[in-house]
Amino acid sequence: MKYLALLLCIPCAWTQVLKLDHLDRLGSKAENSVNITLDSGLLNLAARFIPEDDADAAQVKKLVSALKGISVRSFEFKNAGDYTGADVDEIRVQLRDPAWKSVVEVHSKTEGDSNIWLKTLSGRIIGLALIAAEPKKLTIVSIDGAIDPEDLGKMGGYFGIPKSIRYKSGKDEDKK
Amino acid sequence: MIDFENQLRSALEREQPSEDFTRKTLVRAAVFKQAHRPRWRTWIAGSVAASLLAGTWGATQLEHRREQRAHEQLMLALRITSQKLQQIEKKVEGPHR
Repeated sequence: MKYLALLLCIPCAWTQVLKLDHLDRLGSKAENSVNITLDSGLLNLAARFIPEDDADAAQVKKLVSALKGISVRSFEFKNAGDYTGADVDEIRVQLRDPAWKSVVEVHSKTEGDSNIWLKTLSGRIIGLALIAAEPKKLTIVSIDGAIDPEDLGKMGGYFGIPKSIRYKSGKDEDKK
Repeated sequence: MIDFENQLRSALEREQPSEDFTRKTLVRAAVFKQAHRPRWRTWIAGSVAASLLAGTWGATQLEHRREQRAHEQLMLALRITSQKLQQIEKKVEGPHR
């Protein structure tokens, strides 16, 4: 029975994508907003434009080819309080799933809260979620797909993945 | 009178067509058909060909624009992600420097 539950959970973990649709209403309140949702089909289209002659770009292309989706919602507001904690909480609730692990939590009274979660499956990172909730800015990033920590490490120059995140992967935890 | 009958018989006598009669007939029939072909058919064929050509070109352009837009969005998404990750890293490292 335990194995059956585990087997049922594996596809769930693979298919769970963060739902960010409720944030779309903030677009009308924000002074600037970015709303990007790219599924695997669009990512494949986009990857065709990435040149292969540059080593960093080739790494990005490799990374993108393994992804199943990227969603970004970013808002800049005129006043603090134009978005509420409830807007962010709806995402945090989704991240309570055991598949997600909080790897970075930063709290600042003046600069707000920042969090990074990684979704792992059998020691492999299969998703990344980021919430940067500043008083006048809110950014949510959801990356769905297999992300190799080795690739992330090589991306420094192009994609700017900090080392602090690389070393929080399941693989590294297994080694300990 | 007999002479006249002979002349008449000779005139009305069944004659074998020439060897290339069939070919000549068919060629003339084809030329006639070509000359009297309705013009609207040509116009419709031309319009269909032009529409297909325009449709193919349009679809290619649309696909190219979709690719370009997807690429721009991907780069923007990666840039925002990168910026935010670096900001968070700075915050994490800040107090311990």
